[in-house]
Amino acid sequence: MHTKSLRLKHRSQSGSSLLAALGVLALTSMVIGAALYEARDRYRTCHQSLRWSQAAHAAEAGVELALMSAQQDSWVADGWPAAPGSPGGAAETKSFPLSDGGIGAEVSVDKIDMSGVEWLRIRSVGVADLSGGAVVGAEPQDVMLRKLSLRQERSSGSSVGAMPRATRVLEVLARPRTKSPYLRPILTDQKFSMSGGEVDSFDSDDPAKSTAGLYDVAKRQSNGEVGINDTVGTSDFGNAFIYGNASYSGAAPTNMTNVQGTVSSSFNDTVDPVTTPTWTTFNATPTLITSTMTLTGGTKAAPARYKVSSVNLASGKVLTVAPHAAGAESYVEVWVTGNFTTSGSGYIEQQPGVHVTYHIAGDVTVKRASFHNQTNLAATNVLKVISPAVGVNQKVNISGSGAMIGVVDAPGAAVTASGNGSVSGAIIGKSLNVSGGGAFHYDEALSRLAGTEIIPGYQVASIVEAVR
Amino acid sequence: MTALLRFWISLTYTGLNTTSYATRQNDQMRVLDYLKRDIRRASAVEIYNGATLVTDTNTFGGELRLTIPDYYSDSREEDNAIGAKATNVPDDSSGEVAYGTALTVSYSASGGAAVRTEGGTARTLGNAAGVFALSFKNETSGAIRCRVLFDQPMGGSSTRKLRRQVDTLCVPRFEFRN
Repeated sequence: MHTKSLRLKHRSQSGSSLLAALGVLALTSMVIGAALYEARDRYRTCHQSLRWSQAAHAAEAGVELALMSAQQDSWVADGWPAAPGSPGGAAETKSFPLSDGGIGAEVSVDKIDMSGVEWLRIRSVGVADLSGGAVVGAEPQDVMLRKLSLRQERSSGSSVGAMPRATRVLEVLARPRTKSPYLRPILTDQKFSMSGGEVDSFDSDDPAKSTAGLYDVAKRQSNGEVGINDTVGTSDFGNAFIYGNASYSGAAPTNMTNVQGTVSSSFNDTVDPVTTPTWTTFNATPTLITSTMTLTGGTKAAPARYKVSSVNLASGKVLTVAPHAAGAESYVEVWVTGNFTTSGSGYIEQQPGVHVTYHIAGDVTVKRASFHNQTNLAATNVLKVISPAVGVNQKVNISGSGAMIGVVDAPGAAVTASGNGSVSGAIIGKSLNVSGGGAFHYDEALSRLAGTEIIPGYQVASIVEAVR
Repeated sequence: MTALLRFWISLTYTGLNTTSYATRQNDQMRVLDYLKRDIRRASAVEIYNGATLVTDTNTFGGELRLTIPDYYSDSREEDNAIGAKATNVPDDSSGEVAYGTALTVSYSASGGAAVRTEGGTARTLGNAAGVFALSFKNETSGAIRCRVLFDQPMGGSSTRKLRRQVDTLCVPRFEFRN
């Protein structure tokens, strides 16, 4: 009797242990199952994120491939149906398989009219196939961000079949390239002469080739080319150090011992005349700049314009050119119908962010130190000396020590530069006579300025991503 | 029995913490994907430390402010894909290409949540439970360093935390214009 009771009790305990073990196993399985379920969702989201990023790279590759055909004008040779036609015409399209795993780009290219100029518009759809089925991401925010095409192509509404995909869409606008008017530090139509001094280059856009945008001799570059169109006289380099090429026409110049680059003949680069402005709307005052005053700029789309009979800043006189708003990029144009002169301690205070273009009809007599260009970029301080009528002599005299940051574009003037100061920028003159050992530091950023002469190729002006 | 119970509780916390970590990691990935996308398509990038604009390459700021072309002509949030997708016509009269009036999009952490604000409307990208911290820095290369950190208390422990910091460098596409 006692033995039977013990046996029953033992059986009862065995049953409880089994139930407990099963319970723990079930709960453990639930925990592990939930973790695995979560892990699967998260893994899928990781995969979708990766493919979505790869689709962006594919879209960018599609843009690059289209641009390559555009730069070389090799549309048909590159497999496009045709070169893009005039604005309003149908876009040319091409598919680019880029990698295994369904990564590719669908690219369409057409032309649009932008301010009377035909620009290229490239639309590139980057595609990357998704594995793991047509299942959305774990969170609504993931869905909103990545907008995967799981059953239908989002852009066209067509079925994606058995393979869902991630897509990214880029729209790029590219304008035709134009030739910068300032491709070298010195360009003359007639005689060039220099005694001592040096010509070299830097790049205000590149920290490796400038310091804080300024010329730094330790980062000197060798694109200080002197170009002389002269076919009549004999130019004289005066053994100046030219860190760049010397290109000429006609008789070989003398004293070229220190030209560090290549010397070549048969040079010919058309020097475009500077024309008189055609604008008729400008600020009523001032009409003359001879005393201390301030000119205030405007926006790039609506620059502040002033027309004065002359500029003459004698000792103690300061012309301040200020932005229309503190810290803003600001634009000023000054049309001087007579002479432009600075002397003594008179100077121009060009405040940060201000871009000034002077259109000068008369002679120019300035000191290098009279230009306080606080924007520190040559492209922001341009003296355009309007080409005179045939037979009229025009002079540009730059003198003194100090550093001028700017461009002198005087194709009709006899330019003289005396003193041991420097010009960081570029000079175009009818002729140029340099004395006193002055230096010219060409800012290579000027070569990237837009001009008016269209040359082959395109320049990317805008890149946007269509995120819907 | 006690040992079994403790084992099970421990296993439960492990499961919960694993799930939390995976969730936060997905949040973090989403925030980084948003940042990468928006920085790439921005036309201007600014970093702020409070109200101060960060201009150097040493200081981290807590807010990233982006100027983004207004590609779509309606007033819906850019990411809202429900409805028409009519676009603004590009215009270059200012010397730069513009689509409509540019949008301002900012990123910052608020109350532990990673927040994206577009045109003044804020949206949470990363849950506040993650105790997110966002910081940004200008690199000398021109890239923007984005640092996204979550630092969430760990379930079943008063001191341990689920923590992960990711730095990514993003270069706006406008750097590639030539």
